[in-house]
Amino acid sequence: MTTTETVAVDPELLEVLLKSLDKAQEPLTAEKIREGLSGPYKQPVKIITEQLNELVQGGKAFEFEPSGRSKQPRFWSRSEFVDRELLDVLIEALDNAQEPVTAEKVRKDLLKTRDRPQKLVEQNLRKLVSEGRVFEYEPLKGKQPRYWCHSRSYYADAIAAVVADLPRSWADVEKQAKSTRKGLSAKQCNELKKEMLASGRLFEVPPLPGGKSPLLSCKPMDLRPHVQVALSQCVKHLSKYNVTMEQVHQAARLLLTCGEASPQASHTAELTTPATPAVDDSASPVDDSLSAVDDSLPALILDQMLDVHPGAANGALVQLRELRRAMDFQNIEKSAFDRAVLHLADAGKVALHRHDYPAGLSEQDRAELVTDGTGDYFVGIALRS
Amino acid sequence: MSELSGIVNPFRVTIVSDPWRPSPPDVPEIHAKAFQTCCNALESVRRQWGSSSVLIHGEPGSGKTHLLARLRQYCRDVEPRVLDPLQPETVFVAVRLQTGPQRLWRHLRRNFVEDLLREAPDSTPQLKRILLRRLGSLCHTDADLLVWWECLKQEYPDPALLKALLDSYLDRLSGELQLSRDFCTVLVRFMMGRHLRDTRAWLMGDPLPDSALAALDVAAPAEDDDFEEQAQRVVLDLCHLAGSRIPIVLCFDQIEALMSHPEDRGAIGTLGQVIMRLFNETTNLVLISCVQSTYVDYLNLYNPEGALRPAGARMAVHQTSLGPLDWDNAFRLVQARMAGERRLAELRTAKGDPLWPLDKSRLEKTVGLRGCTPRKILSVCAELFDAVSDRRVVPTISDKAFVSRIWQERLDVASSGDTLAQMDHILTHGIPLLVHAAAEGWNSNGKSPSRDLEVFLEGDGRIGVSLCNHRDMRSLLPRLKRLRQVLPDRRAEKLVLLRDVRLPLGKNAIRTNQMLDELNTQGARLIRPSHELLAALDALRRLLSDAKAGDLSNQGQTVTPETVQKWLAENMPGVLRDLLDEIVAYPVPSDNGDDGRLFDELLEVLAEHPVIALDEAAGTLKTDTGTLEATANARASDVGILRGPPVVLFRLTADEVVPEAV
Repeated sequence: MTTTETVAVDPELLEVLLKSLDKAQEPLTAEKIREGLSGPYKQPVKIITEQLNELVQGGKAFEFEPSGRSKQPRFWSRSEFVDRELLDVLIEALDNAQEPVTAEKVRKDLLKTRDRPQKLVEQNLRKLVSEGRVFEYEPLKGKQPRYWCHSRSYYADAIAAVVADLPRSWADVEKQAKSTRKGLSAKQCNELKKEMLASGRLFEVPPLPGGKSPLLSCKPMDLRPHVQVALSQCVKHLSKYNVTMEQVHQAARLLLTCGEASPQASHTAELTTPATPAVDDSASPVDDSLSAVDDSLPALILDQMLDVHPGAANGALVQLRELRRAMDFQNIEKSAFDRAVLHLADAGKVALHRHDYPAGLSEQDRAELVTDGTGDYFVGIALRS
Repeated sequence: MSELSGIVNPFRVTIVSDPWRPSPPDVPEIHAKAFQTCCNALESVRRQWGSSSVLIHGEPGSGKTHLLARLRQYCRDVEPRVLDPLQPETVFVAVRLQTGPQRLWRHLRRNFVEDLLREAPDSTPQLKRILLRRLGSLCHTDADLLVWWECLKQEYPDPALLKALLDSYLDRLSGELQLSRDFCTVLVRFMMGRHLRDTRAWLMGDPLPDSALAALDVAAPAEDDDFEEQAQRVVLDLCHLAGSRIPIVLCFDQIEALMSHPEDRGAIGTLGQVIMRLFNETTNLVLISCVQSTYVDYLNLYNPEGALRPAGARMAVHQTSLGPLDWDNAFRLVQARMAGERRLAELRTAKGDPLWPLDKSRLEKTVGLRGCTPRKILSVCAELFDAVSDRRVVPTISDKAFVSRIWQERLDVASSGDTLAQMDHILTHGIPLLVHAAAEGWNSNGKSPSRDLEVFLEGDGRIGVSLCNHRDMRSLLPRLKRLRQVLPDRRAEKLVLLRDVRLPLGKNAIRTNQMLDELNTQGARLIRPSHELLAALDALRRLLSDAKAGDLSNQGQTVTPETVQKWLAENMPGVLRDLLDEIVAYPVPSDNGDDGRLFDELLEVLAEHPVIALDEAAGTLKTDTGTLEATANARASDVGILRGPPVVLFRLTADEVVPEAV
């Protein structure tokens, strides 16, 4: 049978101690706290320690390990111990690290001084993690979590950068990503690949003409590189028969636009319901029938949409104003651009988003939008799935 | 067509205003790609890739809020009576940004907490589910957490022991997640089911009396507290509490409502700061933002000079848009609505026509080759349905008449509501909108030069508006002291102080009254908004916010903010016109300080004696009856008077404040 020694609780002293702890800038020993007390509260260290333990039991104060040469526990009203100086040192150390490292490694190898206890380093690392300034990684060999200044997206970004322009084989991607980012094992690389494929940051696309292995791309089914390779092959083949590259491209454009034309396109204007209120300057409906549209323009617009906004492939809205500006260098007339955009909408290739109050815009602002001549003004364009 | 009599028109509901409300029948094929984009973003966060976002553009009536309702159902599709720790959990929060940028964090906090505490039959509030998962994880239990919690309560029947246990758990969580002390204390109270009303109020950021704060064991706000920062801390604490295993789908709906006008760079900048903070501090957030297509130009995400840069990249990790419906989807939508009415479905089957009783060719014409919004097709269907059933066809009304009707509805709702609890919110959001709608040449774009000026207007001069609705004079006094420097330092040329008329400054508030006198001498103007004024301002801000978000529809046609502003310019209620004049008028109208003081003292007397004879009140206030009657007459909208004899004064309550007819 054991007996527990009961400590006489002095509520007044408890309150005074709590105030002292609240004011303290860091955890203090009972002796240090006593130095700040006066009058009847300046009790022996033993009594003060007992009362501090009472506060700890009640969850109002927290006990910290002894610091420096002292063997006395320290007390504070806060549970965390953030060492601002150490935070800066840790950030610098992790910034210099080549890969995620454990707290132990940080303390032993990266910090210039080793007098900081392991627990303190861990606490401050966790603080940095909670602030989003440092990222936590799963343990690699032991059970210790690892820390680094770069998030997992640091590696993922490297992989994405490799396929930013062209689809590539996984072997290429892995090799190039590893050359720019150290500390990436083959296993981690494969895991990242799986995660990026699942989350839509990477896409598997068919091999290029003549290739066998599927490739990785940052765009879903962006087949332009495939078509480009096929066209190059076609140009190369036909050049033997004195056919120029321009002639091949012209033929390709004709094939594309004729194959997708809608016979109902010319009826579009009369089916459209006018928006309210109509703008006075709206003239007659725009003729967006195939015969009135420049052959190559619809395909150019679709291409340019992806250039202006890569997210367009996933249905993101592209500003028509911006799209037209991006095509300025091609000297396309506004009316031709408008006709081509309307034609794409009628053919079901794109969705157009109306401005809800064009009458409230200045004439100059309205002129930058696409109009169908019946009072509707369009601000945005998105690819239809 | 008598067979349709008695069948409710299934196309009448064309607006989903709240993703939490049961929405009309859903058609999964409509906007399936946008929905999938949201789900993919959620999955990437669940795989602990870090916070992500989706920016959704759509025309008014394209179904943005409806899509959020679908997402809510997807996220909250959980078995209500079971909480399996091994099953994934998702938190859903939807915020309509009907607020001013100065109070964005506070608005976010309130909505966040409201959604986390939302009660539904047979379901456990989201906050409790998060906490149970956290506590269960600390105890390494893999049992049903609802059962585990009941067992734990039985194991610790003594509330003191249970509290001690919860305190120890929350201490561990606090250390691990860096949660604030007060936040953890309140969570323990919440789990214990103690002081629930105060717990809720504290979490939402409502002011609490000292006694309630003491009961909760949390600190009283200090005089120099930054309430936006406090709100930010609570929102981030809630995100950290959920942790990396529980993604939080946070939906910003009606982003346009945050801006007092489309090019309000200040509002966009503040939104950008909030987004940056949320992304830097969390790893479990899926931010879904809904914006009207028209605003694609104003947000200007990719412009390096844009106000949203660099937050734009975080706000739009993924982008998608809600395009107009093509014929196939329009057909599905119409069918789904009709299938919801059992009798109609039976009749339709008997007729063998999938669209009966509607005219297919009319619908095809409405959709056309370029498609139309769901709201448009539903409105046409509603009209056709009324026409073919023997019911009275809803007559077409002009936009002006429509806005008049909606205004009266909003005013009625606001007048019967508690404007006192929301006064700061109404004033900070409503005044810039009022100014933009009716005071030409004035705007609220500029950054406030002082945190004591909640609204800062620039135009022919610079006007600072300070809200002085403090209930506790100890917190009002320091603000008034600081405000004394605003005019001498030329931070503003005119200073307007607003204090709700229902918050009298008693004669015992000697220092406060002295300070007000001093400010009055400097030229500051004290305005006492009434319930009537606040109700009108609340109606105005809600009406304009809905119009900006495209959520005002007159028989399928979107009513634009410009139409509402035009209507307001012609029909501005007198109370709002007076407020506007008092705020923007130069030179500063002279204020009779003594009259204001007497009025305050009279309000204090009426707070104690709701009905009192004039001579008795004059005796109490040590003034003559003539002066007091003149004061009461001058403020007849705020004090009730019975002419007598004898003349009797009485306190007006909200029910007696009749909204001004428009």
